[in-house]
Amino acid sequence: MEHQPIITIDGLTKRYKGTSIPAVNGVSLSIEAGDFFGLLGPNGAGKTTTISVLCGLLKATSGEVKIDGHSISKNKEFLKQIIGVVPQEIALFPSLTARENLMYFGQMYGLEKQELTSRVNDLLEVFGLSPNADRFVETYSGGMKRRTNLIAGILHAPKVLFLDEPTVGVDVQSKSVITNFLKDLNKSGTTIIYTSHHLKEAENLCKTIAIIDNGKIIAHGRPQEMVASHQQAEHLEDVFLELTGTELRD
Amino acid sequence: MHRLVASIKKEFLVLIRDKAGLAILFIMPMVLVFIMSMIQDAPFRDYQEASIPMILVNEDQDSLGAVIERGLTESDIFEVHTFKNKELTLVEESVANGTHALGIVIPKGATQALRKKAEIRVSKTLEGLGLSEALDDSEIEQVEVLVFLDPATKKSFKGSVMNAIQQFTSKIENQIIITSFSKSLSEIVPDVDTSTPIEFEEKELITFTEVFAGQAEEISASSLNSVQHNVPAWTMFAMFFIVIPLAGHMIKERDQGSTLRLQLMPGSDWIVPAGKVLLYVCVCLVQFFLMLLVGLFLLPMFGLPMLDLGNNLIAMLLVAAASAFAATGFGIMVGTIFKTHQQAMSFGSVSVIILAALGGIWVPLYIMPPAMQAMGKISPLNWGLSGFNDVFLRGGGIESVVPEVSLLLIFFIITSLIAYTYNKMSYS
Repeated sequence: MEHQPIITIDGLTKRYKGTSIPAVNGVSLSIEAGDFFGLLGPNGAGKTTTISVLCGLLKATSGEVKIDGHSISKNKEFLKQIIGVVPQEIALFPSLTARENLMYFGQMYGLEKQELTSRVNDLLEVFGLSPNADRFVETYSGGMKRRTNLIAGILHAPKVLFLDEPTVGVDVQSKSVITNFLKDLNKSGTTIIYTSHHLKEAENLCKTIAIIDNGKIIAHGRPQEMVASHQQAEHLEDVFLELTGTELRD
Repeated sequence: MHRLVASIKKEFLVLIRDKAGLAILFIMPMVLVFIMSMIQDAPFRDYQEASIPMILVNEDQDSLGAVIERGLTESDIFEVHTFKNKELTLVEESVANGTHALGIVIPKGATQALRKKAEIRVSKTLEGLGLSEALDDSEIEQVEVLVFLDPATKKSFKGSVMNAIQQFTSKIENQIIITSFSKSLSEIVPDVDTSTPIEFEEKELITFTEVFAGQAEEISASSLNSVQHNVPAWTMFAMFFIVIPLAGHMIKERDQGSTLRLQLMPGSDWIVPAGKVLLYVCVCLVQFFLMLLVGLFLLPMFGLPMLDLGNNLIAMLLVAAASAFAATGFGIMVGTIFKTHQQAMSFGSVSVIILAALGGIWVPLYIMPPAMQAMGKISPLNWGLSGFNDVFLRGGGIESVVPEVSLLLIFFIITSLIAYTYNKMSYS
């Protein structure tokens, strides 16, 4: 079945003040609704800048980005309602409990208290956090914080979810819960844009992948097709190294 | 609306779980106002009430000595220690070692000498009229009242003391002249009845009424004392010191990433800052009421005067609310502009201390040099303090605090706009 693009990026360029080389240089992409899209690249390649522009956190120097048919530069407030973001940082208030954090973020999305309470309880249960929901987040383990961080980004059931390294620094059990949940979420129709350095995880999760380096998209397609098109490659990681080189990036 | 309420609630929860922040906000200012009021009580009394210890040696024991002694005692300025006689060296020593700020010695026979001088003057006047012969003035001794002053005494104080003594002396001199004139007249004109002594009318021909310049009809009688200065002064300091927890929380949230998440939420451009402003304005008002309680109840328990709130509580609340907004705006600006916790803490605390010093928080503006008084007018802490003084000391109402309230609100708007613009620039 052919899906309509939910995100279209046309000639996106972002140049930071005081730098001569753009962080993102003329990127054009189309992401289908319902896709699980992986944006991969080495450090400093332009992943975070691209995601930040797509979320409306940074203003593009040039180019046009549309989400669900709406230009992000003109409909910022509307788009905030339909996108969800799970940043790499644990973007929670450590001195609040997990429940207080989630209730606050849910209320900020305009969710009614009854609906919100029910949704918070359900998600805490799914992620195995119910017994500790009323503990301060600062007392949580890394995996618990990461799971709470994910819940905070999906409380309002966004159409498009941006995930930046959602499983970094967590134990195997937490990683399994998170990845299984993301697969289910995607199956239920949420478009997911995902960045990670875990290429095996990306290969396992993503339907489509784009590799970005030096601010430009250097490869774009289905992971299996990308592996197949490179004779020496057995996994996505081999393709990645072949395209971006083995030189260290800082 | 419920987003705003949620935002205020979140700020409240974060704040009440920050024990160090709470100590800075509530305990520190109350301790400060208590200590400063106690420490400055004596200097304020010296400056305002001036109960100055002095020594008076009244060897005269006649009219002049009695008038000077009564005048000094009734002035309420001096604590007079009187002696009938004392060695001059001891009086001088007592002033030199600071036991007494002033020493006055009225010599023996001073009144008698004045009387003799008066009689001679009268006789000379009558001789000029051809009514009697002038008395011999060759044996008149000069009356010398000795005044010992501490070399550190201010010129203005010295001048006031000398004026007062001269006034007492000339008053008694006039009385003696008139009495002497009356006596001489009765000798020349025996028909004149001089059996009844002349009564000197106590009522002055010209009277002076002191009116404290103020804008209100009813003027508060309270003068500036340690409590009246320190309670509003340290309330202003405490309000502006919220820069420490407020900017600290903002930078912490930014470092942890929760600011980023909030930026991605609908309406966050104004709801999140508005929640912070409203919560911290309430915190400032709680600080204000706690400081009032210290001034009204705690300080009097330690022998200090009770805080006088003036006559217009609405004007007082207006100044408090405007000061709270100004302090919160300043905190948000610092929390937005500075990148690190350390930068914000250093700048925040030092800037508030400087603004407090300039604004007359540590010592009242009116005892500073003119240049510093002019500079003090640029401090928002001074605007708030001046507003409170308008209400507490000058008995002012709403109209009298409009200039200070306006300045404080303009300060809040400017600092908020700087923070907003800086955020927008970061986005682009």
